[in-house]
Order: sequence, then C-alpha cells, then structure tokens
Amino acid sequence: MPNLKDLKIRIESVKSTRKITKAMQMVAAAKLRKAQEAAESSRHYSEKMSNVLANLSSAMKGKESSSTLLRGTGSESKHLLIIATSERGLCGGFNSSIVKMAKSDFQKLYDAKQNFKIITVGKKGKEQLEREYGDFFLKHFDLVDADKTTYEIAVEISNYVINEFHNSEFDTVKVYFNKFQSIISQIPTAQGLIPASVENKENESSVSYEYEPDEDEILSELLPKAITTRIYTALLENAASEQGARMSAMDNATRNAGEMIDKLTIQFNRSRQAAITNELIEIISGAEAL
Amino acid sequence: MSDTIKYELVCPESKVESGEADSVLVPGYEGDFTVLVNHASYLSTLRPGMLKIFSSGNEIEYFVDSGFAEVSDQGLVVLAEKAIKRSDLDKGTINIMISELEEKMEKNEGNDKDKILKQLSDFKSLI
Repeated sequence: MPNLKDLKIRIESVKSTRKITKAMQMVAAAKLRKAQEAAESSRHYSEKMSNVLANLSSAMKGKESSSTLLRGTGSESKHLLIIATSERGLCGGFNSSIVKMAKSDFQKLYDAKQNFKIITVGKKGKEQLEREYGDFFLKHFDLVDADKTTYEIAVEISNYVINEFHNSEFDTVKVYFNKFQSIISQIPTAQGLIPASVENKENESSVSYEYEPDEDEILSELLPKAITTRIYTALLENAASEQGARMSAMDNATRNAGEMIDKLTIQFNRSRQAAITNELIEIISGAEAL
Repeated sequence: MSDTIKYELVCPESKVESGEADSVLVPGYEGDFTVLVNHASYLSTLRPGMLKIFSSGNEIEYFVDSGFAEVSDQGLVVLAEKAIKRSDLDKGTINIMISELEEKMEKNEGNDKDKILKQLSDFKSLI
C-alpha cells in the first residue's frame, strides 16, 4: 500500500497532466477553426481551377494532346508517392493511419515488382517510414510553419514533383493525406496527381472558348498550377484533420486523467481513514492496557 | 438585361474581390483586353500587370502576377497566383519579385527561359 505522501504526489502530477491536455485540446480547437477557414477559402479557387481544366480537356478531346501531365506516359511501372503527415505528434491515430495505408500500398507495389519512390511531407511520416522504407526516400519537405499551410510550400513541392516527372523518372504520382470528415473522423485518402484525372461532368456541356495563346500552351501552363492546387488542397485538408485528430485525442486524454484522479482520490481518502482508524485502535488498546 | 458583368478575382488562399462591374481590363498574355457584358467565351493566361475594375465611376486596381482569366456566360473569373491591391503595392515588392525571377532564370537553362524573360520584361515595364 503506497503511503499518503506518495498518493498525494501522484494525484498532483495527474492533475497537471490533465491541465496540459485540456489546454492542448482548446488550442487545437482554435487552430482547427482557422484551418477549416483556410480550407474553405481555398475551395473556391480549386473548384474554379478544376472547372477550367475540365472544360479545356474536353475541348482537347480527340486532339493529340502534347502534355504528358494530362495523359500520362502510357506506361505504369514507376510510381512516386507523396506522403503528407504532420510536423508534430500527440494527435491520436492521425499519422499512423496515413502511414498504415501507405505501407500497404508500398507492399503491393513491391510485390508487383514495380518501381516506386517516396516523398515525405512533415516530420512524423518520415520518422515512421524511415526504418522500413528509408531506401526508397527521394526527398523530404518540412512544414516550416506547422500552424499555417502556405501556398508557397505547395508550389515548392509541385515544382519538384513536376521536374522529376519531366526527367521521365516517373509514370504516376499520388499523394496520401487525411481527408477531413469531422472532428472525430478523418479518412486517409490517396489521390492521383499525375496523370491529372479530370472527372468529366457530362451534364455541363462544354463551352467553346476562344483561347489566347492556343489550347496547348494554356494547358501546359494550367496543368502545373492545377497540380499545385491539388497538393495545396491536400495539405490544407491534412492540417484541418491534424487539429481535429489532436482535439479528440486530447479530449480523451483529459477524460482519462479525470477518471484516474477520481480513483486516486478515493484511494487516498481510504488510506487516510485507515491510518486514523489504526491510530485510534492504538490509543484505545493502550488505554485498556493500563 | 443588366449591362454590368459579374467578376471574381480569386487567389489560392482566398477570394479577393467579387461583384458587378461595368468593365474589367485584364492583362492578358498577348496584351490587355477589356471584358464587357456579353463578351464571347474566352480563356487566356495572364502576364504580370494591372487588373482594372471599372464600376459606376469607381476604379479598383490590382496587381496580378500569373494565372488565368476565364470569360463565360457566367461572367469573368480571374484566377491569380498573387493579387495585390494597388495601394499595397510599392516598388520594393516588385523589385523583390524581379530578383526572384532572375534567380530562377539562372537556375534553369531549359525551355522556360523565353517565358521567364517575357515575365521579367513585363515586371520591368511596371516600374
């Protein structure tokens, strides 16, 4: 049986843990709101972007398109996988769910004897994958400012990716991230970047545009931007998911700490009572002996 | 039938400006063009330059660096990588962008060189 002093110390330490997790939960809630706003305000741009791209690619249909970014290279044997994770831990299953999904895909590619390379974004994904798949690493990007996803980082990543692609290193590019569903559910998602699959909405009859400069040139300008936008969207989704996951993880931790404090307090009270009873027995039996 | 055109200026990080205007002057890749109501469907890339929005005597000016302008029957949509309001723009910011471009040009000798050179001269004409 631990003595009273030990119990008291434990209770205090769990209490301060609870304070920390509670604070982290509230910080995450505030950051989540910001991240959601950022995702919301970028949605407009990405929607417009994919509209333009859809129009353009349906106008290009039937014509020989020069851009391999849109069509793909024709083969499918070299893959580039971008794994987007977070820079900080303590966010529940956020990072491991992405890593788990990515790992199972790695295994599939490996078994199929296909070539693949990995780009990691965010420190946590790198740490988790390094030991097993370190040989496949191509590059790592840090999220410099972990709280704010900037467009610049998306530009940096996409420039690098497109460059690698044009050096005909790869046939397909995919990005792995957590799609934000709600605070309690984030869905690990793999999205294809290259070839830029455009979901054709048949009901939207394509408008015939006049182009300046010609279609090909616009397309070659547009595609890298569309890819950047997709990466940016993925990063923003990821940022919102991270805060959501952290919030619910910290909420759980706060609750667990509370339960633990209750249990320990009961134990503390019982042992104190036991000590008092013991003392009383000693006094009484001492008085009786006289 | 209204004689104003709906316009939107959108950046990756936010929607900058939207509303109705009498006409909008867009810095297109091959030259400025003005969009009035009932303009034919048109898609153009942008060069670095000033976007001018005219509405009922007012004039709003934005600097845009690169992106697209799409004119359809729904109005004008300008997708710009960067959009800075005229009043927030000074020579310093443009100079920074110019030096960034020059750095980029030194780094790659590839086929993008012509494009970058053109962008560079567009920037320089702004000063």
